Amino acid sequence: MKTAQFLFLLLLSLASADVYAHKASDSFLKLQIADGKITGQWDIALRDLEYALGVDQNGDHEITWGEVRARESAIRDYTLGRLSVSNQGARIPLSVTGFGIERHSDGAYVAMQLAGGPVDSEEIAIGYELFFDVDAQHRGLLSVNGANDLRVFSPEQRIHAIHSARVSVSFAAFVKEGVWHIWKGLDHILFLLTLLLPAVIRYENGEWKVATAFRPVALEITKVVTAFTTAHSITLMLATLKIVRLPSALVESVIAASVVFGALNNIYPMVRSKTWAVAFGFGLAHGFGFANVFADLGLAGLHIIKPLIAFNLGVELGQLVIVTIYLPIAFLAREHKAYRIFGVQGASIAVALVAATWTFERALNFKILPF
Amino acid sequence: MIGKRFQILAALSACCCVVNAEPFVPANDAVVLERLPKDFVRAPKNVAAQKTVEEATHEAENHIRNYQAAFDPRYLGYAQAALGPWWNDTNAPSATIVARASIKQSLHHFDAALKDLELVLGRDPRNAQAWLLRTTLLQVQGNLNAAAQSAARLAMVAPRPITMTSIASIAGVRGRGREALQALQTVLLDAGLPKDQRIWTLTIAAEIAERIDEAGAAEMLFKEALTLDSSHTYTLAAFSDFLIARGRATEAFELVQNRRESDALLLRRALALKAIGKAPRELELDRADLKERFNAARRRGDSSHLREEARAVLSLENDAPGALRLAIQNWEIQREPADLRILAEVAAATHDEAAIEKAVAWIHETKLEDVAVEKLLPL
Repeated sequence: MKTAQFLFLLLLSLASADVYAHKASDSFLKLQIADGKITGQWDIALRDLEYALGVDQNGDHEITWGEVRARESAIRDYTLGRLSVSNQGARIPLSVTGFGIERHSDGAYVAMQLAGGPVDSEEIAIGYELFFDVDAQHRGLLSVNGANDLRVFSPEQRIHAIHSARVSVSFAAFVKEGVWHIWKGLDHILFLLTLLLPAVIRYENGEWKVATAFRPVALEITKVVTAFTTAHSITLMLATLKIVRLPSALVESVIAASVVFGALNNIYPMVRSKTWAVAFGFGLAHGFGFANVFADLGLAGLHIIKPLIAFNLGVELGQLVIVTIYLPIAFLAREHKAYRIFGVQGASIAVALVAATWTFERALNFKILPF
Repeated sequence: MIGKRFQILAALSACCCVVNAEPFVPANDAVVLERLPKDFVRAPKNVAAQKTVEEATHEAENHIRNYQAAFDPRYLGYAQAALGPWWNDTNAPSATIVARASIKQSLHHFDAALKDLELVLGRDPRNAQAWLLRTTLLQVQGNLNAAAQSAARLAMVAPRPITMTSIASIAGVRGRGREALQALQTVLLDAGLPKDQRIWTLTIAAEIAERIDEAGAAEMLFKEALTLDSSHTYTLAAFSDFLIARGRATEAFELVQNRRESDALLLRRALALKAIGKAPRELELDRADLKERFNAARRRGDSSHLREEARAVLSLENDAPGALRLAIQNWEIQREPADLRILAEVAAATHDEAAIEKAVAWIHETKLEDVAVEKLLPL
């Protein structure tokens, strides 16, 4: 592992010989405030540090890691001296617990891991003054607890107040995100429903068979949902912890294809037993899809396990709600002809068409449908 | 059943793993992390408060010149910071306010820039720099009548080559392309024309020539401009577009392949790669970088990239409806031929009636000639 890591880093350093340099000047500050503590990461462009502070010692217009390390304490003092976190008026001291490099689209940034505390979960004020005296267009881009409303520090806005609700309920907030994303995730819900439809009624040997008792139905549904849940939890974890990474276009195409399969299977049954195995197999792909959503919440590099568990829990809860609503309705409706025609066949055809369009869109990377 | 599951898993894992950016510690001290531009200088030691307004203005003007050479937006920030306490001062000297207006124009704060220019011209009606800036600004906004009137005032105070270029530039978007091209070629006959004016005049002439379907003349003019300055960002961008539109994407790629730091040129690099069609992974890197830059710009409230972003969203993200929204938003702010071009492209791609109508109306109203656009619209 050590040799592989070293070789990988060497490869990265060779790739870095490109002339990156400039878009507009931004720094990226990601903070997590939980359990009375602050942790975070602050990415600051080497180009900007060079302009304000000087890092290139030998004047050869190249900044090397050695030169950065030599200026490490000057960089820490300069930057931390222009960032303040206060709790009810009292300043919370911050320290640098890690010092490295991160690449962004426009070049190399110093990445500092920050830690501080204690925080008594009331109003937190974050003050930011970095570079404004030499670059009035510099902006500090702040995200707290992976929240989707990102804050911007500018010369006109040097303080942002973070409210306690966001700070103290981060676990619940991520559960909510999970629930929200599965409810919004039309493709995930449709896949699940297409697999569940046959539980109460199916087309077998040329005739429609209606489930006779509730218990086998409930059992079947539990098996299918559990298999789906287990599979997508596994890949959500694997992908979020960066153990496995896949191109998102591929993942999204497979997810859409799974819905096509699920829908078609209700009309021309290809899989009649062991539906749970299909749910598991395609569930793996759906998990990668959830991981992309989770990644967009912007927690990369920070304490990710609790939010990940919370998010996953939210996804399961959201699913459970849908299944719990669906199951009794479907069971009661199963005898009616309308359920068979519209509910199973009609809906399956419609879903298959939509999902086929999605597969086409996602595989070839263009959009037709507005959803 | 087992077989199917394994097949799926195998297929998934066979695909390449995408490397994501993560903090890392470089392998050793000699690793080069960043290369600085060749004319890079550090921030001056004295903060704005300790400078005189003349020193501050001089410093800002240097930064503005650097900005115009490479379109590196950091220079605008440095320029603005240099003007520190005089940024909102209505009593500042004219040169300072003109520098301010120039910065605001580059940040696409057009109305604020115009206000500053009005301030200067109110007390100094013969300020040529202010008239030139005002004329250009009004032209970018698409206020062509006002731009023409402003150019007439410019003619009274500025050297001939500058006024001729400015007037021709406006005529070139109002249906008198051929005339304008001839006028510019007359300007170019002057051997004493300063180098940066010559580049500016050549590029404007090249763009007009391209629009009126004089491709041969356009290419000669572009190449001449690049001979004078092979790293001129604006010219490189315009010439790459010209080449890509004519199926010469490989040549376009060669021009911009080492200029990833510039958003404008990174866009052309990606478009060239897409047209060439042989380097999907490199294209994907460029596409992803551009997307990150546009997202960062949006987060910081910067809307000066809309034209480029619309083009990227249309051609690299293949999202015509998304590109349409951006192109329309862009059109509300600026109306140069390049803005009409992207509007027409997305309008044609989405068959959006309102957008098509906007584009067609513009052409009828201004008599703009542009063969690329004419192909796309029902005129």
